[in-house]
Amino acid sequence: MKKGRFKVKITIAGIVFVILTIILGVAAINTGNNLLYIVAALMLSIMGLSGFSSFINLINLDFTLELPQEIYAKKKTFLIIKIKNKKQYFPSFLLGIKNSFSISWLTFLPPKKEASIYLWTIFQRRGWQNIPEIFIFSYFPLSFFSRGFKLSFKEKCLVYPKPIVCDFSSMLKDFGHEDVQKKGEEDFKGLRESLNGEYLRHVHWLATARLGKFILKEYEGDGSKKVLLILSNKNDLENQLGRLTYLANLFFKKDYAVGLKTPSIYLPPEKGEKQRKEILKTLALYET
Amino acid sequence: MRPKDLPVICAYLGFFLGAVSLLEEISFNWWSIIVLIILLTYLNHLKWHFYLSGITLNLLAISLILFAFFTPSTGAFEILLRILFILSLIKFLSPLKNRDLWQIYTLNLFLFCMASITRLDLGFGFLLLAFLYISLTGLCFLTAQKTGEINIIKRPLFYFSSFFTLFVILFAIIFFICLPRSPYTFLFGFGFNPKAKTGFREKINLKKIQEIRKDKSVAFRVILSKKLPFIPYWRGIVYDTYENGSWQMHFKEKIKRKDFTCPSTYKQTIFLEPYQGKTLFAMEYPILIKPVAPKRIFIFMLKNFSISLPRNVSMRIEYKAFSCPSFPASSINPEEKNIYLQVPENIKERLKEIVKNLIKKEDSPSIIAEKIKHFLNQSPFRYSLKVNESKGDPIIDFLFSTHQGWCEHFSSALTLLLRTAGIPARLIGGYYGGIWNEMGNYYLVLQKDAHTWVEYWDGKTWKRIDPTPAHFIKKHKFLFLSKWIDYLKLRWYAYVINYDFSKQRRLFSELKRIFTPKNNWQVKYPQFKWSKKIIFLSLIPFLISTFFYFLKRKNKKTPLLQLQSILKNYGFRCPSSEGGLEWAKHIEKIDPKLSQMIKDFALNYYEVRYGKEKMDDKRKKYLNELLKEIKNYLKNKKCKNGLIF
Repeated sequence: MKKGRFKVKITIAGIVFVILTIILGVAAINTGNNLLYIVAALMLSIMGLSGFSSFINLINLDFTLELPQEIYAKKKTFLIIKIKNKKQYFPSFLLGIKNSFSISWLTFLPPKKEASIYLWTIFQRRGWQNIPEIFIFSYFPLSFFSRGFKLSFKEKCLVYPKPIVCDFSSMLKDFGHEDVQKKGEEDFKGLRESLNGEYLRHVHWLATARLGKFILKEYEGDGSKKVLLILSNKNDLENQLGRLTYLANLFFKKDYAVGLKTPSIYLPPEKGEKQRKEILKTLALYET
Repeated sequence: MRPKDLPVICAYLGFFLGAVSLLEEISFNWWSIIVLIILLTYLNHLKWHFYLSGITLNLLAISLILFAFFTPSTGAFEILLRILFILSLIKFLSPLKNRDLWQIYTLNLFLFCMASITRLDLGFGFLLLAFLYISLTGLCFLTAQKTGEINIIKRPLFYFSSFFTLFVILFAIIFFICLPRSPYTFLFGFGFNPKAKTGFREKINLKKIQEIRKDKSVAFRVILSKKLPFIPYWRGIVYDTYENGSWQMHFKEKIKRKDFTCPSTYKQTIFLEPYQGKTLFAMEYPILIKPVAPKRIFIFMLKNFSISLPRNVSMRIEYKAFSCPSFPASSINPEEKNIYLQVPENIKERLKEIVKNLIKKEDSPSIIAEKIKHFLNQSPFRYSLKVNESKGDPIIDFLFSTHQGWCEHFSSALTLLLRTAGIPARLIGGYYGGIWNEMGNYYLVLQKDAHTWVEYWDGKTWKRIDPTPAHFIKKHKFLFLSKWIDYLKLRWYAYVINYDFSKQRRLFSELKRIFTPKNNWQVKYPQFKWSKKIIFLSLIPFLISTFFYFLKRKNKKTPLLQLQSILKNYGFRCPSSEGGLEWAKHIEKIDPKLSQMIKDFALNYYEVRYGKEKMDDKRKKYLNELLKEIKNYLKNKKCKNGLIF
């Protein structure tokens, strides 16, 4: 994460204030009226301190970005930005965080405290994508100036293709075939450790209790329903990828063992979160 | 009170303070209309929420401004003031959105700017500070309202605005001191209050003195180094001609400034309030006057040692006066003598009656003066400010029938009686006493301290004699708090109102003097020739600093760049678009050992650069060792010509 330089923009109220200060300053010098001098001095002082407080308001802030587990192209994605005020005594007021899609406000952040802000964004393309820059700014204290800086991220994130809703039956004709086995009495194959997020239907409770972690029973064929998604390298690739993304998620939800076949890669049908992620990653990175 | 209403309340309060600061400039009718409309608009915002459309408000504003133009006024200032009030009131009539509130705050600021032209008093300073705090708080909440939920930050924002106001004031003091000032200003005097008070004029009657003595306002303040052991006489105008109860100053011969010999002088700094007269006051007898603020005013001294301006004192004046305890000149010419012996023919005979009974031919002027004073201080003469208006000459009435009067009756009677006895005498108008304020080491002299006394020619010099009975002096009831407030007022005038180019220059030269090291001796610098040694020695610090600069710069290079420069030195072309691992890959075919070393280095560095590891001393040391190792390896191999990939 890289912080950019401070940028100061003057608002309309600020322009009016600056012009008024100049006029009053000139009037004070011309007339030698000390009370006008006082008014002009107060205005100059307000201007200077307003800039200084807005600077103090924005320094010593630590930003951490948290990305959602799955990001799909052309879909609203919520970024979580954790802001920590590292200042010893000074709070931060009215922090604005914006990107090209949205703007969020953090009204108050006491010293040495942390807060989270949600900001939504849209990734236009699939594959490894740069996280778009965000702009941290504040009108504090008097709205005469807006001071802020850019926050750019070096990390990249994997963006899956945009899921395109499609009719299940038509897909079978269009994209491949379904190889479905009715669930019967398959032969017991062995035991294995549960993967994170895996469907816990076949838990071997005895082994789980003994080892203190989820152990699943594995059967020959691993499940009753299998589906192989085939990507034929035809035209309209992005739409195909979108539909396959949708279908992959749909079949995994319906507890199918899902596989993927592209002209270059073959992933045999399997169940579980790991397989789903692998398929989505393959789709995301296909021909990028 | 809801926090979101605070900017509106602050806008109302700011307007109210602005209106109060201009209270003296607005007529009662306007004031009543303003108060009524403001109350109605506030109630409207609270309860009714009835708002006129934009067009209606604009039409109303235009018609009211036209009305303000065509109703009788005292000048452009009043018209401008009316327009400002109209615009503010129209704004209050509209629904108060953020933009409207911003405009109201700006209009309130304009009201204060207008007040700064007409007011000079300390009260304006307090009003301005209150306005500043209120406006800054309002603006902070207005900004918060625009961007966030202000209920959460109500308290911290209050604290912030309070501290912010405090710092704004502190910085404003610095700006006030440092802002450029010009000794030449057009519109000079525009900013001063034209409302002058009553006071001694060139012609004065007995009733006028009575009026002055009833006025409790401040005449002037005199800063002295310490309290005087006597009650001071503040000498002002010298009256020479008496006619039908009025004294006039006819003798206006000016003297050029010259150095009067005086054993000791009293230095005073006087802040004279504006009044309807030309005379400047100082402790008797002033021999030198220096204007301080405004610096460029023409002051002249008359032969009778009264100091005058060419026109009325319509502005507050600060000046320094140097006074001599005794009369500094010792001559009187026949023309002057004739003037100071004048007695109106219609009263001369009656006055002779008194003088005949009082003096003897062999009495000296001093004895005669004392005798007449003694006569006037005895029964039936009595000091009183309540005397009925006389039909004839007031002094004759005082001497022969009423026997009651105030200082001017006593002084006039003594002057005329002395003149009748053949002694040149004159009436002096000024002030007597004052309140000593030990906080600021100054005398506060009020109008009610106005007094007249007599100066007579004793054959050698002029001497003062005061025939008014001593019990006329009433002690002022002045509380400690009042003294404190008056001290603040004095400082306000001295440091704020009268701060000008000359004072600024003096302040800066004083600061320069303080911060410049004091050398009480003259330093003789050794004469030397610019030899090569000296040039070399003088270059040493420059060379050292340059060396450290480049060393620092070199150290600033990232380890990967350092590796790149080493490899480049030995002929390897390492493109910046590639990383350490790519370089290692290219070298692998030629020199697997070197490639392994580069790979090791790059991986170690990448763990810090892109991973979660930290660049601690241990890792730094390890990377440096690796770099050295690579360098030595390349050196030993002597691959000067290197490889190109």
